[in-house]
Amino acid sequence: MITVAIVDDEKRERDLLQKFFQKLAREVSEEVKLISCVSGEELLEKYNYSFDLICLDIDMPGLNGIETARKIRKKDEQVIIIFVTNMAQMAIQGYEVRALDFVIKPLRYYSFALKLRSAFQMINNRENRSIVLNTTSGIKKINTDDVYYVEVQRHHLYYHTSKGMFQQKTSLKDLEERLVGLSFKRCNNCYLINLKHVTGVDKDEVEIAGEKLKMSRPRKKEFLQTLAKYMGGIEI
Amino acid sequence: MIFDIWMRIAYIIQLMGACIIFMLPARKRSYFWLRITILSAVLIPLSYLLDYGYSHLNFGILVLVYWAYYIAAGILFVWTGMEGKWPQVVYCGICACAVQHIAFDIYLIYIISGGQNEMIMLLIYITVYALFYWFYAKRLLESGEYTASKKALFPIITIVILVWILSILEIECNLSIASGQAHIILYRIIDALCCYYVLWVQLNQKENKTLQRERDGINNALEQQTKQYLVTRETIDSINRKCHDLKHQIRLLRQGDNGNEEFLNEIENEIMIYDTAVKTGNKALDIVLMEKGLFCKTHNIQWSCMADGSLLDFMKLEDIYAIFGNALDNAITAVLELEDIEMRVIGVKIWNQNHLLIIQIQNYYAQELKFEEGLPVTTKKNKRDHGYGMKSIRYTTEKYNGTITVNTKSRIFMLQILIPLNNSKKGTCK
Repeated sequence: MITVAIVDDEKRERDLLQKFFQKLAREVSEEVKLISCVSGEELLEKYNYSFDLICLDIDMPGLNGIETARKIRKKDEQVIIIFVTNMAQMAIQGYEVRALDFVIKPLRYYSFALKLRSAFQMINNRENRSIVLNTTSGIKKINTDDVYYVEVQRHHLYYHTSKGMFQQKTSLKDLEERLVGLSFKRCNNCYLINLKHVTGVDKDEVEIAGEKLKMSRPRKKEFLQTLAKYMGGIEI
Repeated sequence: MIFDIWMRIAYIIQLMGACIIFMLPARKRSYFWLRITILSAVLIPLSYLLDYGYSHLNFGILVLVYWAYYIAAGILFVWTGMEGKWPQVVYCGICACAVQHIAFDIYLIYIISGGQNEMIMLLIYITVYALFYWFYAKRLLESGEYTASKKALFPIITIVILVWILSILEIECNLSIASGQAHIILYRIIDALCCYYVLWVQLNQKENKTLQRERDGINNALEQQTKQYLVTRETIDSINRKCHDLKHQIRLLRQGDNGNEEFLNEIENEIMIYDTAVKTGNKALDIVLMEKGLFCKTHNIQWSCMADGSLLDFMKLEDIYAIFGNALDNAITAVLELEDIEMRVIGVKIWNQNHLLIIQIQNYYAQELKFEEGLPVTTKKNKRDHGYGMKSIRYTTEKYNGTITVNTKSRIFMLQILIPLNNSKKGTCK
């Protein structure tokens, strides 16, 4: 389920956005929970990190959209922000608060859907799961978000995670099957990378959690394309 | 005695020499000279023993092994000294064998035609090696590596086997191998190999020609675009100047006369169409966005752009123009085919995420698309003159180590370009 906050001071616009979201939700068969706010202040008050996406009007009395976005970014790096505005010039600057995109008023459905489809896919690409590992030091439950990458060495998998390193006796292929649909991709025969944590790419290296891992030539192209899909909101 | 020893090890030494000329310009392993000296210390005595055995014992069919040993030794020698994957090493070793062989052939011609001067013999080798070093080995390299694919190895190996068998036949013609069944079989193998080689050359040439034509097409398109860029830049600059002047004049008119306020507002609005100059922070991007933006406005295409143009600063102006010009032209062509005007939407986004530059262009489309090698094929009739747009985008992107991804889903076409940004602070950020 995707949780969306709609922030606009005009009721008519909020209602229209709700209608659009419901229509899109039907089209992509996705469950969407909509929460309406009449001002930036109300959004900040209600903010509890459960939002996946915020649809933010720029021109509002009190805190305007850009200011509200700045305050939100201080709390939450991850949430997707999309501006709704009749001032295209201002929205171009939206990248400063790492807004994903903007929709122009008067709202039109196709334009809305073009942008929001990618946003929905981006949210789905971020999906995580808890997995139970039968490690060499006992049974461990970890969230896939905590995994930076998995390395294979002599029939053992080494999980490099934010919670330390775990070892498990299984094959990378079995693990890959368990992680299907999540943001994991091989860059090499012996590394399975969580695309979420990639912080840079070199000519033949991937940077992840401060380490540099080699990409193999045959896997490089596919790896980079999957990374691009992950980041750009295309189904992985 | 010394001469006798020399004769037995001359081949291996010449071969190692040839290997060295190929390794010198390439990326060498650390302790290069130490490594190859140690290997030489093993190979030279080994070759001496083998040669001794070869001239004293009757090997029969084993002569084939004797010659194979030298090819293997050459490859091993290259592998010891040079960094690279096995196709590159094999490729290099075989090239070295071929160069040694050429020098040896010239040397033989000299001997057979009665030459006896040892200095000239030495000179022959030095000249041949030097020529191949300058005009072959050095030119073959690409950033310290021989670009050898497994595909390229196949014909090379064929030819070497051919030369190898020919040499054996010539030298061993008085041995048993040259007579009877074996001889005929060998001869037929050579025959087949020759024919195979001729066919391979044809195929290869055709492929090269196609590639060349494609490259010409892309270059041509790029050249056109650079020209167009310059013209557009001038036009837009002059429009912007005019707009600025006009606004100034309107302000002056307002001060003088109050009756025509409405009329003046109208004029101002008219001018505003041209004054929506996009300011993304990158000149080339501004120009291409404005050019295509004006077109969109007059053709009822809704379009939006969210871009931090300064991210593109590391790219050449004409490259930016080529990428966006082509991509937006494609998008515009696609949405104009849509009957429902509401669906004529184009979205452009440029952002930076984790030191990766991402450019995304989205639009709805009407016609089913066909793909070739991951890129959509032109829907226009004239295939020879069109269809370079996408390839040009890919070509330009790859120049910056980037990749392009094309995706179609729910009647939305999405072109995505990913280019790693070189960050000087790389490695320090977690």
